[in-house]
Parts: sequence; structure tokens; C-alpha cells
Amino acid sequence: MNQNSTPHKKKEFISKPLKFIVAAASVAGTLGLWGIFSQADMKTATVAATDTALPTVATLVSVNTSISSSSSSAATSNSSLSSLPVVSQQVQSTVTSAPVVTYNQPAPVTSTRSSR
Amino acid sequence: MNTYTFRAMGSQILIAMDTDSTTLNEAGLEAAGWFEEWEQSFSRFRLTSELNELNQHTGQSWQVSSSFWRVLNLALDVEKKTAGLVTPTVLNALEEAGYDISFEEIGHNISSYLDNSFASIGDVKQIELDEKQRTVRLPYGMRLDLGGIVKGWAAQQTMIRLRDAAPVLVDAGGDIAISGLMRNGSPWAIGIDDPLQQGQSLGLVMLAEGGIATSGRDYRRWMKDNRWQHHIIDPRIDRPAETDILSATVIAADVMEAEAWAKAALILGSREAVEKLDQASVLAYLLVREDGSTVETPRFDQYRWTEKWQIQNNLLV
Repeated sequence: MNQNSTPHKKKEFISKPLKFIVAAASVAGTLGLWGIFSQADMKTATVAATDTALPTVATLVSVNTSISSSSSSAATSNSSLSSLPVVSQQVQSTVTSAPVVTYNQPAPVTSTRSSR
Repeated sequence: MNTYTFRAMGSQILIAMDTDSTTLNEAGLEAAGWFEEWEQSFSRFRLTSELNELNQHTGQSWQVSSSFWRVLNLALDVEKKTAGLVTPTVLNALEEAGYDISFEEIGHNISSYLDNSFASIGDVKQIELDEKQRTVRLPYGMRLDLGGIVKGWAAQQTMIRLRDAAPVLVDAGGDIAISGLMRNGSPWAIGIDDPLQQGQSLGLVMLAEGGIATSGRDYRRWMKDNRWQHHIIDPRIDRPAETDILSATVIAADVMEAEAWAKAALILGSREAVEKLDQASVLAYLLVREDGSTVETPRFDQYRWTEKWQIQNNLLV
């Protein structure tokens, strides 16, 4: 028997270049979508951060209210206070004026006058 | 505020009570009866009054009622306090000035006036009083008039008699007695009539108690011998007071005190009145001069209604 020793050659239905193109397209698509979504998230996050921005909170500073008999210590105290950073809190400038109350003169029960 | 009005003692009487109308009407009717009773005692225009009886029996000890006794003693007390300026012994001078009939009739009886010589006032020290017998003896020729004090006294008496029922104000021809604050805690609003412009007001005062009275020569006045006469007699000259004050309003601890000092101020004239009133026990005063200018004590502002007063007192009125 004559055995044929030709090695079995596996059939390739999809060519290597096509595989490469598909793989490349897949990677590119994944990356592209990633980029698009990530940009969209960034915009959303920025808008949300702008909307919910909290006002700046004033720094709490302890104030020594004790009165010093020494003028030098008082001066020191003043200078130390003035050297502190001035932090102003952003305040809504809505001014609500007090309601105007007008009083009407009461009606007299009677009047005093010369006898009549 | 419910009020009840009627005429008595030649004046309009008003009773204001902080209560329902039924209680007020009952009180008003009762008060009208008291005023009628008092008028029968004190009127010089009723021939049968107790006052006329006494005046017709000078030189004799004459027994008087308890009311008459009280009012006469009050008049003598006022005479002493005002150093003789407000005295009950003015009847002769009043009649000499032409006030010998009720004021409503004066306009129709000019011919009844006497001559221009004014009778002597008389000295109250000559009046003899016996407390036990409750008798009065007037010296010959002296005749009394209690008109200067009796309206204030009547207002005060009425207020005292009614105050247990409800907070009350009694106005007897401009002499006003007040029992206390109203039930809601607010004082009584009382106007001050402008003597120069009828129907106009000089302002409003807020009184919690005591009395207010005005004495003036803007209404009860008449012409005699081409001269204006009025009913406030100056005992120093035995004739109607010659004064620059047209009306004097005084606030005091009670209406009788207010009435007495209002009269005294008018007699004195503005310059002397200010000195005298500042020394006296009055609470506040407002004087209106003939030229329309006014003089008032700084304390008057404590009573005058303004928005500031309203805020300071924080009261609902």
C-alpha cells in the first residue's frame, strides 16, 4: 500500500488580513466609544459641579475678648487680628426691608373744651 | 365704645363705659338722675335750689345736705390752694358782669344787665361752718356760686359710682374724669378742642386715669357796654379776668384739681400761669393764647398721641 504522506492542510475560511482588519476595527471602535462616553461624562460632571457649587465658608477665627490692661499687649492683639486673612463669605445680596407699620390716630371718645 | 349723653347743669354730659350697651344705658339713666338731684342742689338758676336758699338766708345758720357740704368744703379748699384765685364768692360779680340768667338766655335779655360797678367778692374766711350741725352761715350780702367746681365734682362722683361695673369716663361739659385703663389695657383717647377754630382739634391725649379739664373764655362770653364779658371772674379786680389766655387745659390727678388749676391759669395770664402751674401738683398743661400761640409743659408730650407715643407704649388703641 502506498501511503500518501502529504500533511493535512487546514482550510482557512477567513484570511489573515481580514482577521487583522476585524481586530483592528474592534479595538478602534472600543476606544472610540470609550472616548465619546468619557467626554460626555466629563461634561455632565462639570455641569453638576457648577450647579451644586457650595459658597465659600468663612474661616473661623477664635477671638480673645479678654481686655488686657497693658497697651502693648492690646496692640499685639490688634496687630495679630489684623494680620489674619480676611475671608469673606459669598452672601446672597437679597435685602428684605422691614414692613412699614403705620399707626392710625385713634378716634377720641370725647373732647375737653371750655364749658358748654 | 358705647356712650350715653344727656344735658344737665347747662352742659352736655357724656358717659362712656367699656361694657355692653344694656349696662351702659342703665348706668346712663341712673347718672342722669344723680345730675338732676345735684342740679337741684347747686343751680343758681333754679329758685328753689339749695344754693339759692342759702344765698337768700345770709346772716343765718342754714343746714345743708351732705352733698352740698362736701362741695362747699371742696370749693373752700380750692380757694386756699389757688391763693384765692378760684373762689365760690363770685356770684355778685358774675351777675354784675351780666351772667344773671342762664347762658342760653343771655342773648335775649341784654336789657337786664346792671350798671358797670362790680360788687365786692367777699372774704371766704367770713363764712361760718358747723360740721356737727352741718350748717353754713354766710355774712350779710355774700352770695355763693359753686358753678366753678360742681361740674368737675359731679363728673368725679359719677365716675366713682360707676367704676365697679366697668372702666368709665365721665365728661361734664369738658371736665373729664377717668376711672382707669380700658379692659384691653389701653388708655382713653381724648381730643382737645381748638378755641380759635370751632370743630378743629389741637390734638389728642391718652389718659389712663385722673382728670382733664379746660377753662376758656371762647364760648361763654357776651357783649355788655360794647365790651366782651365772660364767666371767669378775677377776684382781684371783681370782674371778668383780663388775660391773654383764651383757653387753659390741665391734666391732674383728678378732674376737680384739673378744673381748679385751669381756671386759675386763665385768670393769671400765660406768664404767671406757667410759674404757678409748674409749682402746683398738676401733671401737664396746655395754654392757648389769644394770638393763637400755645404754651405747654414738656410733660404734655407724655400724654399727647403721636406715632412715637404709640410705638413707645406698644398699645393697641
